[in-house]
This record gives sequence, C-alpha cells and structure tokens, in this order.
Amino acid sequence: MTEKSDLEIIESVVKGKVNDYALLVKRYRDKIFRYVCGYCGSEEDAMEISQDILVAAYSSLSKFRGEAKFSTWLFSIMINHCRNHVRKKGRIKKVSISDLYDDSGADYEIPDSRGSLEEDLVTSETYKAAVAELSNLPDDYREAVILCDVEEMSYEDISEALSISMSNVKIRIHRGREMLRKRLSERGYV
Amino acid sequence: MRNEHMKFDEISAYSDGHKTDVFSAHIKKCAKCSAVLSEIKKTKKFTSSLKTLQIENDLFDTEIMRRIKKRRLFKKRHILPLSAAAAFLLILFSGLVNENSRKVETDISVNNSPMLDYSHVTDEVVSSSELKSMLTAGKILSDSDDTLVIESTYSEYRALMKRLSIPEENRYLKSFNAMHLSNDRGVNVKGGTDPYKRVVYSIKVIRKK
Repeated sequence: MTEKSDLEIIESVVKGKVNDYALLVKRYRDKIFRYVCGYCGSEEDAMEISQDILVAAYSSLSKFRGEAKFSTWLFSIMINHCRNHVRKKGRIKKVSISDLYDDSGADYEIPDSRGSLEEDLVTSETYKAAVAELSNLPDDYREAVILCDVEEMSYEDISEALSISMSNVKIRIHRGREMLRKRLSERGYV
Repeated sequence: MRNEHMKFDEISAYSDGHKTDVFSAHIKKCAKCSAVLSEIKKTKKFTSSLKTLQIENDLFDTEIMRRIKKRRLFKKRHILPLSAAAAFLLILFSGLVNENSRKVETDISVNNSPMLDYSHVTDEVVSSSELKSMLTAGKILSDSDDTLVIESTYSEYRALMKRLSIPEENRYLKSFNAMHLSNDRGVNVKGGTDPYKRVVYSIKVIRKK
C-alpha cells in the first residue's frame, strides 16, 4: 500500500479525521527536533518546543493553501517558534568544544585524529559538539547552516522558509560554514 | 581551465552540488582549492552529526495528540457561545428593524404563537408531498414556489434538517442569511429551541419540475 502524501493527510485532518495528524507528527517530529536542538542548544527545551511547533501547525492547518511544500510551510512555523524562544530566553549560551571534553566530567569526546575524522565524526555523541559549535554562530547563519546541512533543504526551499532572497541564503550558508570551518581548523579537527 | 583560485563561497556551493565543468576541472588540478573543499566536506559532516538525533520518547506523539484534542474541545466551547451570541444580536437587531419599519406582517406573525424563524437553503430537490410526509407532529403553514414554512417542534425540525442533508455546521450560517430575508418580509423572530415548543421554521427548497 502506498504511503499517504502530506496533502492527502492534511485534507483528511481538515475534514475532521484528527487522528490522521499523528501521521504527520511521526513524519516530521525528528526533523523538527534536530533543528530545534541545533538552534536552541538544549535537548530538553527542544522536546517541549518541538511539541509546541506541531500543535501550532495543527491549529493553522486550515490556512495551509498548498502553494508551498508542506515541509517548507511547517519549517517556517518552526523557525519562528525557535526565534521567539531564543528572544524570550535571551541569547543562547555559547559553549566551547574544549569545555565539553575537559577533565570536568563531560561524558563524550570529539575524535581527535585528523586522518579518520571524516569517518569518526558521525557518532551518537558528536552532535553535542556540533550543537556547541553551532551556538557560536550568529542566529541568521545558524538557521541557514542547519537547514542546509542537517535538514538537507535546497537553497530555494530555504529561501522560502526564511523569506529571504536566494543570494542571502547563499551568503548565510557560506559565511556560517566558513566560521565553523575556521573554528574546527583552529582546533585541528579539519 | 580557470587559473585563479576559487572563492570560498564558490567551493562551498560546489560542495552542495552546484557544480560547473570549469570548477570541476579546477578542483581536480588545484591542490589548494581541493584542500578547502575537503575541509568544507568535513565541516558539513560535523554539523550533519545532528541527524543522529531522534525522539525516542513514545509519549511525545501521545502528548501532542492529547493537546490537539484538548484544544479542539476548547475551541468548540468558545465557538458555540459566540454563535449563540451572534444569533441573539441578530435577532435583537432584526426585532428593532421590524419595530421601526412595521412592514406588512405575514400570516405567521398574526398567528401570535411563540415563533422562531430559522431559514435554511437546501439544494435538495423535494416535492410538496414528500415534504408533507416528512412531518408527523408539524404542519405546513405556507408553501410557495421556493419557500416552505412549517410549524413544528424542535426535534422534528432537526429530523427534517437531517433528511434535507443540511449539515449541522451550516445551520447557523444559513439561518443568518435567511433571517435577513425573513426580516425583509416582516416576520417577527422570537422563541427558542425548546424541544417541546412548537416553533416556526422556514426552509428554502428547490422544487422538482
């Protein structure tokens, strides 16, 4: 049996089959969670914010006109929620990678060998270091980098989700990456 | 073949798949640009480690669905009183209009019985005999080309609405529209939805030819 498309599920939910919304939740919850975690810097907050985003999206579902992809529409809600959260809580705490694996008891470490970094970097714990490094980027750059490198969105979709021009998208992604690369390079990771 | 080094932005875009033959040829030959590309790829891999994150808490979905259903009930609880308040204001307003304009009263208002004029537009094609057969307690007060006026109990009215396929959620809206029509005809609007009280409803129908 073929999987229902986003539009089919939305139609069904709008017609009153509220339980079908669980299908959309299942489909997008991890993507939203990853973005929120990367943007807001806290796994604990991310869980709660992700729920708020999915509830808010449900409330606005009847306003979805299908002009953009559902994922892009959902991500623009997600982006606004995260911005509001950071605004309310104040700037997120900047963390240094070296703070994370010193003697004070961090429970993971960043792989240190230059040669095998590419293979070793993707471990279940490395994301904490990534979150820490992302927190040092300006908000605008952080948004764009996560959408491109984590969510694997195209420049066009990012432009739509962030409501900015394509050239701005490119600038934010490339500058964000450059800042990250410099920091990782200073530490001898790349 | 491009001789000068590529800019960081160009290599970064290249790593995202925005490749051109000129850049591809240059990267192959230029050790410096190739090294930058490799660093960008590692940086991307580092960031993309976030992809390993997953929600493992089963309660996550359950909690969202619980909040959605709660929100839905909350909304309904507000919509109904709002609709009722709007209907009340409309009735009040139409009463005032009638008071001032004193248009010709119809047979219904002369009837002096407790009345509630609910008008609904249905696309259902029904004949007079079919409509009569639908009523047991109620009676037809007037039956023009396109409008049927019945005196009935609230429960029978509801049954009739169901038979004419007028959905519950459309009834308020349609009654608003039709109440304006009723006012133009000078019909007094008062009464309630007491299930035992006989009230007057007008229903617009499309006749069978």
